[in-house]
Amino acid sequence: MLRVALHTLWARRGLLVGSFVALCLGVALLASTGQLLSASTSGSGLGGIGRYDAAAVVVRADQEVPVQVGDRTVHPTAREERGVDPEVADRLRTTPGVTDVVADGSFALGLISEDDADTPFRDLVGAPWSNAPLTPFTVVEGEEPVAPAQAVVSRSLADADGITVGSTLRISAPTGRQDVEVVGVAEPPGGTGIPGEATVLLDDATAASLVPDGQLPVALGVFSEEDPARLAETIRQEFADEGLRVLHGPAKGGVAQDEIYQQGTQDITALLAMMAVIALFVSTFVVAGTFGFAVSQRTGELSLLRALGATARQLRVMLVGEALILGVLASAVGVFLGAAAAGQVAALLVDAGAAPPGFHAPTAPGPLALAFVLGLLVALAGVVGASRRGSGISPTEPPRLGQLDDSRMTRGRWITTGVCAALSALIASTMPTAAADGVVVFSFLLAVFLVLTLVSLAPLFVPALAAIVVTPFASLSRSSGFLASRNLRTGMRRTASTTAPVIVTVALAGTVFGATSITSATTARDSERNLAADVIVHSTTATGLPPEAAEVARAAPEVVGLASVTRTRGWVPTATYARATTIGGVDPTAVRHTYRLDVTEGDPATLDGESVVVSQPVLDDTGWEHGQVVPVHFGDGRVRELRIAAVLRNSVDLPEILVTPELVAQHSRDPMTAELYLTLDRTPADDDPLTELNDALAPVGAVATPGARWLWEREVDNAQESRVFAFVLIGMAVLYTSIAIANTLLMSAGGRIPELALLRDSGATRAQLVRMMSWEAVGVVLTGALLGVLAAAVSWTGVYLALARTVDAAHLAIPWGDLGVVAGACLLVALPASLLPVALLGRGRAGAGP
Amino acid sequence: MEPEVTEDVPLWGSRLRKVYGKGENRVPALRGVTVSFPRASFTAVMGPSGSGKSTLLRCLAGLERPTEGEVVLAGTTISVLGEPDITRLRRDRVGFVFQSYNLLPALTVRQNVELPMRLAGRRPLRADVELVLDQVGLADRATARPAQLSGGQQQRVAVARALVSEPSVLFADEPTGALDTNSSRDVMALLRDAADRHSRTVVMVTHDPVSAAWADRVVFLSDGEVHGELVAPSAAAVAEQMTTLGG
Ligand SMILES: Nc1ncnc2c1ncn2[C@@H]1O[C@H](COP(=O)(O)OP(=O)(O)OP(=O)(O)O)[C@@H](O)[C@H]1O
Ligand SMILES: [Mg+2]
Repeated sequence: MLRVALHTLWARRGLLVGSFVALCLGVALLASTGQLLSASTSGSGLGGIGRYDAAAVVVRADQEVPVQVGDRTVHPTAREERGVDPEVADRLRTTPGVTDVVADGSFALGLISEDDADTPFRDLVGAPWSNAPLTPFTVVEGEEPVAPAQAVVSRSLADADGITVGSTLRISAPTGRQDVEVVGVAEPPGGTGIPGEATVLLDDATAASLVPDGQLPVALGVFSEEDPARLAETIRQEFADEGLRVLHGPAKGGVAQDEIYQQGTQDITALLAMMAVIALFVSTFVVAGTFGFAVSQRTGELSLLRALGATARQLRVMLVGEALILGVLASAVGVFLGAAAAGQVAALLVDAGAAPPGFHAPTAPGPLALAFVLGLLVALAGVVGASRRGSGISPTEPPRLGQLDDSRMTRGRWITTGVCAALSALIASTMPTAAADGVVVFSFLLAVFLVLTLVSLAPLFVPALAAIVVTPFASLSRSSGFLASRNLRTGMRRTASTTAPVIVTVALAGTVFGATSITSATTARDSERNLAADVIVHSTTATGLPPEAAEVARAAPEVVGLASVTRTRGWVPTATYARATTIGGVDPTAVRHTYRLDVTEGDPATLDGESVVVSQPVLDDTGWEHGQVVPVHFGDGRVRELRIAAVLRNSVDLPEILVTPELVAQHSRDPMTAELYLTLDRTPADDDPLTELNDALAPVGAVATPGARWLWEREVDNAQESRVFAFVLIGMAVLYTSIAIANTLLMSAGGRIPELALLRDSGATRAQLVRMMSWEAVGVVLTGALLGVLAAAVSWTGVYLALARTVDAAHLAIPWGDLGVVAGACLLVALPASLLPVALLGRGRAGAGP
Repeated sequence: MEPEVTEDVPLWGSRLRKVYGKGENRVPALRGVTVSFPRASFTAVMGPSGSGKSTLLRCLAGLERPTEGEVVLAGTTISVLGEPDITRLRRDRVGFVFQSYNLLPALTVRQNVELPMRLAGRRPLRADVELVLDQVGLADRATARPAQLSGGQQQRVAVARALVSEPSVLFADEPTGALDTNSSRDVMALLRDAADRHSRTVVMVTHDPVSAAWADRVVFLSDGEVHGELVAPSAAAVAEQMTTLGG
């Protein structure tokens, strides 16, 4: 039987090419995303000079923080890096073998400059000169910074920004603005600086004055003559169970490049994970479709085998055997293609700025093996339905030319329909209660199951629908339009099969584009309604605004009101998990002038160091109530018991949890103000340059923008970002489903040649045939687009309703333009594929018979 | 389940009714046909187009289930058998030759002939295959593909395929429908030989009185019912009978 399978497989290679290509590309997609994913979650391996290279051992605080949820404790990673207690440094100094201990006193700083030239650095780091031995930095030009307001810069920073000995640096730091004099240039051994990091080493007094009091060092560098591994072990034993991590060798960290790299790759990890899910869904779908179609095209052959004595089981074994052979071959080729493509995609992502420089995807055996296995499983899953149908073919004489291809609703189809419809309903019913950030994922899932429902129901109504859709065209051209409509109606299996990938493409595109455009339009409208500030001030440096920015703004004659927001992050415990949240420090009275707060309970003005203002979505998830004393977990892992002073219906642009700025400063590493909200004595026009205010703000590294324009610019930025994201996702899916569309059409091409020959012999002109096939393609794509929009519309409604729960101005922004582009792309693929049989007919029409 | 063994008839159809479709589209193809076929006999089934000849053959061969009535094939009542059992019985005891040759284009002549045995899980003996190919006069074309053969040659391969598993009953539905006189004669000789030399029961549907004259007996069908039979037919007698049926 296997030999028969092999033979027929080879003879039917034309039909199976479609399944092969679909599977091969699916596996390639999975393999390359898998490889990229594994690359994005591991280090760059670039190495380079690290900040702690000279220390034997580095001691850090454990970054896992306990959060009590229900009756168990979970341990998320700290969202503000936790520091080490100074007392640990003292005890380390007395540990045998330790010669010195240096506390890392570095902090993020901003450099204010007139020209905002691009800098090659992601991080601008300030540190006391006493930290120089950690790397070590040695002065190669000028002298060491010892007197107040002196600085030494790394050679790499000096070269990049044209800084020389004698220049003045204008520093913006958490505690304020400071001008320092550059007295020297320093280098670590074997380089011009720490790659990716611009280092400014200040005299110890100045450095200490720039960080808030009581901020703990993130690391302690331990110096010793001993073997680092042995020393680390000694320290680990001495400090067991004190929440410390004792590191040596490459694990010491402090390699700026690696940290930047990891941060950068985190961003694309989510994108890649979603791509992998889409790849899996779409490839399973397409492969199942092509297998099913290939089997339907072979009805004659299968029924002959049945007549010659093959049992249903034997046919099933044969079809599954074919799928396995095909699966192994296609998966193997796909894995190779994917592994090769991953490198190209990595380079593309770097070029597009989506991945950090140096991002590359080395061959990863794990993900590749997984992709291979998934490919086989997809092939098997795809053939299960087809083989059941194939083996059910009756052993009566095979159908001859002209027999109608009929495709009824089988029991399997009804079951699939039922299950998918039930799942859709289940998801739809949970959507209104889903957390806001879960809505997009839910709507996506909903669309997936709606598509599956529609596709499994397809034979029931799609051919008739396609025939109706094409009717208006039928009146344009009498005979070809009529024929196209009849063909769509009677070639049920073919019509249903070619429509399916169009439904998938349009529905996925509609869902992803729609969800992003609805959320961003809604956010923009909502901000517009709630923002009362006339002017927004934000930073021009890499960090936030120094305290002086608020002083300067307050001093400006036209400013009558001012509010600031400092931001940090943390968690709130729900019954089952630690829910991530944003925490903001605000002046409760000032913020009322710049934001129209929608207060549902209590009074935000009563906010003090012991209380908190919470927005409704947080209450929904935690079950908290107004007036209750609740545990708020800050990003550094510490918990505050705070009383709920007021409840806001939604947080608008503000963080979800509002406390006093002082409280945020205590728990944040970088407690600089993100934005200042100003009210003026007049309402500035959108294009008001605010010259006077900006002149005053420039020296402190700040810029003022009229509120409306600021919102608009931010909206454009956000929209741009999410559109790029959506296009990457959908572009891939569209590419893949286009292949499926072409596939089905090409697979049916062979079967259509005799029919077309017959039409030509009956007097149809070539142009009429071309028109007929074109109308068919149009009918299929339009029908698919219509149903795809239908599925997407349900998910739009879900997103809209979920948003409307917290926002008055939910706005149903439907991306018709983008959908048009996607449908157009489908048609562009479908047309030439439909016309192929006509072209083939022209070449070899003598051999018209089967 | 142990199939009920009736008497030792190779093939017997009793009160066979077959209705296609439902409601409006109801087509009664057979309206109670009772017919039996003795061992080593060659029977031709004739009748106007649409009279139910192919349907009768498919029902007798176990390729299709009659709506009512019983078929006894090789001593077994097949209406009580499940689908896999019918398939097994068919591949052991039945050969079928279709009007259009229905060879698998992917396989060579020999592979096509071997196919039923492979499907039955038996290893075809090379000598057996050579023997039937020799019988149909195609021993030298064993490695050819169907597409490289003429229509008559392809039909002879189909006959070889039907004969190779040594069936007790051999069905042929218009085996000469697409063949010229010479090729038709070759195929008829093969069927005659199967009955005479190998004691097989041969049932053939045909429209051609000359072919029908090769048979021992002709059964006439009209509108799904038996309308008489002719024993030891001559081409002229068959043609005359056909005219009265309006075929
Ligand atoms: N699968 C089917 N579904 C519905 N009706 C059928 C089917 N097969 C045959 N019929 C109908 O049953 C009747 C008998 O058909 P059958 O094929 O047995 O005729 P026939 O005598 O072999 O004709 P011909 O000489 O033209 O081959 C016809 O009216 C035909 O339309
Ligand atoms: Mg017939």
